[in-house]
Amino acid sequence: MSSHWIAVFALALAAGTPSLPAGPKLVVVTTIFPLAEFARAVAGEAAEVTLLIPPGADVHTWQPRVGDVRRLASADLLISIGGGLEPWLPGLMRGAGSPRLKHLEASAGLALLPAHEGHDKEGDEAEGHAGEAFDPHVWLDFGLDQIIVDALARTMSALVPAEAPGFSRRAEALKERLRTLDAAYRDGLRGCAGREIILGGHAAFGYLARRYGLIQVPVYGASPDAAPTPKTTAAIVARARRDHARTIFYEPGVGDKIARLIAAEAGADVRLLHPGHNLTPAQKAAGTTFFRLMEDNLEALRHGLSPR
Amino acid sequence: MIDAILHYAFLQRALAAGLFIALACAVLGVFLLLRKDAMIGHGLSHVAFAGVAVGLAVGWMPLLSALVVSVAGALGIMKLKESAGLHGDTAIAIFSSVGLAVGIILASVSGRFNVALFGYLFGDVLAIEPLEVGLSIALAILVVGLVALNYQRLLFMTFDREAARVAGVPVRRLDALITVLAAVTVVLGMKIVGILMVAALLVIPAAAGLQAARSFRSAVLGACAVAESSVIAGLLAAYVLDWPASGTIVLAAFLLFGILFLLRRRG
Repeated sequence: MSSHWIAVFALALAAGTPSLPAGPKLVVVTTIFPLAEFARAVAGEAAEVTLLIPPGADVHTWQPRVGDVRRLASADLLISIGGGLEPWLPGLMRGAGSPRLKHLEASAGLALLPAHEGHDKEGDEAEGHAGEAFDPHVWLDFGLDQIIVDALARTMSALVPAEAPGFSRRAEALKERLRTLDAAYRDGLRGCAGREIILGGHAAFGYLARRYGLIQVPVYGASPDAAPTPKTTAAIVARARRDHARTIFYEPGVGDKIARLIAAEAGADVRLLHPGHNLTPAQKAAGTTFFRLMEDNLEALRHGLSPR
Repeated sequence: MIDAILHYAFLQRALAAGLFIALACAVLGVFLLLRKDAMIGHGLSHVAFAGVAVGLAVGWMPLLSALVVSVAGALGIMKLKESAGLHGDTAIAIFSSVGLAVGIILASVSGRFNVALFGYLFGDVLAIEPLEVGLSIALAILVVGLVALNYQRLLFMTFDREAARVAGVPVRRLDALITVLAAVTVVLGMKIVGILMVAALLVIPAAAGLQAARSFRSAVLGACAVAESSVIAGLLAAYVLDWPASGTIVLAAFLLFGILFLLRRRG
């Protein structure tokens, strides 16, 4: 409702300002942090890449502002994950109303998990994101990320054919980094006895779990807004006790409160496991990268999945 | 359930904090309802939203800024009600809308978005820390103690404000006391057990107590009994039915209210 009004208002504003000259650079707008990092790496100097969701905001509940509609209206390419992760996007695109805007949905054509699979039934209670048939956290599968990077290079090349060799060269370099990361996860997790990621957060790690043969056991369901029930919480505590879990993981958006509660009951410790979708303002200021977040996650997983 | 409570410290803490906060809410609720201020819990929660946003924007401790802003807001509501000749709920409506507006603007302008803000607003009765149990006990002692100390004067004032004023009861000071206590209860309560539970527990048990009561004292005691039973029955039902705890506690309170309402109509 309110995003509608913002869109209408911004349209009125946009109509009053002369549209910017297209210029030599490709203007790319991305929705979440990993997409922005990948797009910047692939585009190099040939594009101006911006990120819609500001540091610290949550992708599910964020609302576009007037400036965002203007930004999208003057962009050449919009890159989103798709499938309901960005529920505000259709309204924003209608508001921008730009006929030349090309839209790439990164999850299109990938081998996706259904919204409910990949979590353990014992821990999974809540519904998925509204209107969503699959789990949107695809960027946590470093194999799927390589397919996304290819799609980025292809789409950018179609828009600026003269830059195609550069796009494809930089995409190859980025994919090489992703392959290295993937190998580090495979090697790093092979020696770990534990297979369960007990999460005091939402079910964000389905793809990561699938890729490395792990199981995620989240307190919350697919999105972190539905409150956990006493029984679910008790069942997860019982499970952590039974399996002698060393670590209960938490995520920045949800906080460590529920994780610390389970950890205290089960004699475990807590570690941060970052869903990688956004930075805090402090991380942004420190120049934290997606790769850095994922390396920290690997450290946390290697600690948590080892015997006590 | 008894078995589960013995097994899980988090259920013990949920029960303890819930019982003490419910007690504070029930006692205050009777005075608020008789003053026709049923919506004040709801309204103050919006003001507290602005308070948390102020804290995040300025870099204070958000809980502290929420307390300061809510107490100021509560006194503002009282003032507006008195001097502008508006009814209680008009002043509440004005303050709660402005609170929401300020909160939204600050959250957006300061760039510290909803994640931190929501963390400060929505407590969870299942994730209560030992310190928060202590805070709930302190709140209950504060509320029950101050009400007990001023009981006769509050009683007089609630039933005949003009006569109380003439008799030298400091009516405005006592008004301010109840209003400030309500603000403190709303802010601490919503951080600990969540806004849904606090707003409901300020109104429903008191309303139930007033249904059954033959005297003011029995209304207060009845409200306390309903509040405590709702927490116990609600938590128990939530565990057995696998429902969210705070919502089930609110439903339990409503059910008790309904039973007392029907009993009174029959009796």
